[in-house]
Amino acid sequence: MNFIPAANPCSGLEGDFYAQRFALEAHEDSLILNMGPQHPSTHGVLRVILEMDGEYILRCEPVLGYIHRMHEAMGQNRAYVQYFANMGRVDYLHALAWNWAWAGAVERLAGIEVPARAQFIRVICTELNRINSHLLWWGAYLLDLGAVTPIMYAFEDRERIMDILQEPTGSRLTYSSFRFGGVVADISSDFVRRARALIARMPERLAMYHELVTGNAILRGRLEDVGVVDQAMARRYGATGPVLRGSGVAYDVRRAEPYGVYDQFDFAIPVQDAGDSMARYQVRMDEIETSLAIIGQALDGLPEGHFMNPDAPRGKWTPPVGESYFAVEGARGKIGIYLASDGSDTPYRVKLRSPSLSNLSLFPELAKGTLLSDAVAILGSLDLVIPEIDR
Amino acid sequence: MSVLTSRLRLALPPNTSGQDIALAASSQDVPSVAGRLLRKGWFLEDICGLDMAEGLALLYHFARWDRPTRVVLRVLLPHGGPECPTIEHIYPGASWLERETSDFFGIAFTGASNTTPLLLAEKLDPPPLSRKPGHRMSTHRLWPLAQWVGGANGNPLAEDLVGDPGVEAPAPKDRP
Repeated sequence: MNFIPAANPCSGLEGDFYAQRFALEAHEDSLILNMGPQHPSTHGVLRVILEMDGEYILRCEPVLGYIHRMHEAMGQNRAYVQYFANMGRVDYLHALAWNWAWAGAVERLAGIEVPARAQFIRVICTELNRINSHLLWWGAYLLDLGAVTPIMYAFEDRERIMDILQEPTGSRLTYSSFRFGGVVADISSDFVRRARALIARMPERLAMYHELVTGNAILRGRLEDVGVVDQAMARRYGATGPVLRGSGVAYDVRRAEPYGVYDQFDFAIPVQDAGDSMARYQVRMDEIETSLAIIGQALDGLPEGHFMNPDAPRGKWTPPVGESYFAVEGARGKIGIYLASDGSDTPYRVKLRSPSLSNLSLFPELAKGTLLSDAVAILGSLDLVIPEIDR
Repeated sequence: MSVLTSRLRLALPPNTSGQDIALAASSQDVPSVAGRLLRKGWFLEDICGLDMAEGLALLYHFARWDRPTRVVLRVLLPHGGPECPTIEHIYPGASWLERETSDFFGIAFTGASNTTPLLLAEKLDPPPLSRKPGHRMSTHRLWPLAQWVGGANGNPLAEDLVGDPGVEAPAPKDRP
């Protein structure tokens, strides 16, 4: 393979290739500023190049790829079941949603049945994982905005959920516990007891969170009317998840394209109309309650039976020739996997639709003309997981 | 029937595909089809490249907020110098998806405002997701079902897609 250096029309300008290219369109007397990739509010590895007029952003451009691992190429060179390990690492915060998307794409293509008990276990574990994702977002977002304490509370609850999820999944963060036709392990009565204890505990904790933070005048001043996304903008950029629901659109894949057994549960889809950062905050906080309600119903209705289809394929295996698209609702929005099979034991093509990528792509339009400190509030309100964007 | 509709080929993928209808178009019709879909309330889910024996395929997946349905727009480009007009002036979110597809398959999106690599540091030759000529699957194997040209042929979803086209989107070169 030959490496061809990117063309450089900017020799003589300061900075690397991206900064130089960005600087070509700069106004006189403006300041080019790099935010990230080493910046606490970009959560590791996102870089945004900003052109500043004082404290105001004239324009900006995210630079991606710092944690690109080529998951789609890896999909083409390993057995179908091996790819679950990748799914745990695309979005480390809601790994089980990606697990479900991969399992669903292959099950849809090959017509593999999933027993009812396995479906319920998937729902319970995925919703617990969603709560954990939202809790981390809550703590980290407030940390971005200067509040250091809340993340300590969030992690106290996260630890409990990770303790619960550890039993059926065998991991604490990068879960890869789904399999075609079910899950790797059944849940025990102890799991059920601990999950019910969590459901009993969380309303009090959420009330405390709201009392501690949500009504805070400084927080509301920083989030209200900041980063307003309207519905037309959301459609043009393909925004989904809490970003879209914060703009008044009740679109949730669990309801819009029901998969698994989600059509058996009664749950509300939290929606806020304002479209600002506060609306997205409120949607995620309400979604924790929704997930708790779903888990409660799933525990009540948990059927007996297999946690794995006994006839499901194991190890190396060849699905039929064809293609499938499967979408699930992740903590950040619509996760989609397109799979094409040529009938061999490795996929012909795997395409991963990342909700964070589409949600971040509207940031340059959103940040134009805002204060730099507001850009931090907007970025955090999008709940980005950079490994999911870079894949 | 509009001129655009008369050029579209339609197919019904099997239920197991998760796609409700497939539209096949030539690359120069992509902006017009995308513009029509935006006006009808569709959003762009993703753009997927696919290296097939007959050429490089582009799959544009579109979905809706108000009902569970998915349309795939298929475009086939030649292996030598694959080019397709950008749709970033219709769906700005497509810009990054196109740049990513360009990284992985070497497809040039003409008229795009930014063509720098998105996820890769530099352009790779051959592109990382392209396949060796002997290892490519035929489109006839992946999409064996019959296609028809033009009208809706009684399919309600196709009726919605091909009917009432409204004003066609301008081509990129017509923009100010």
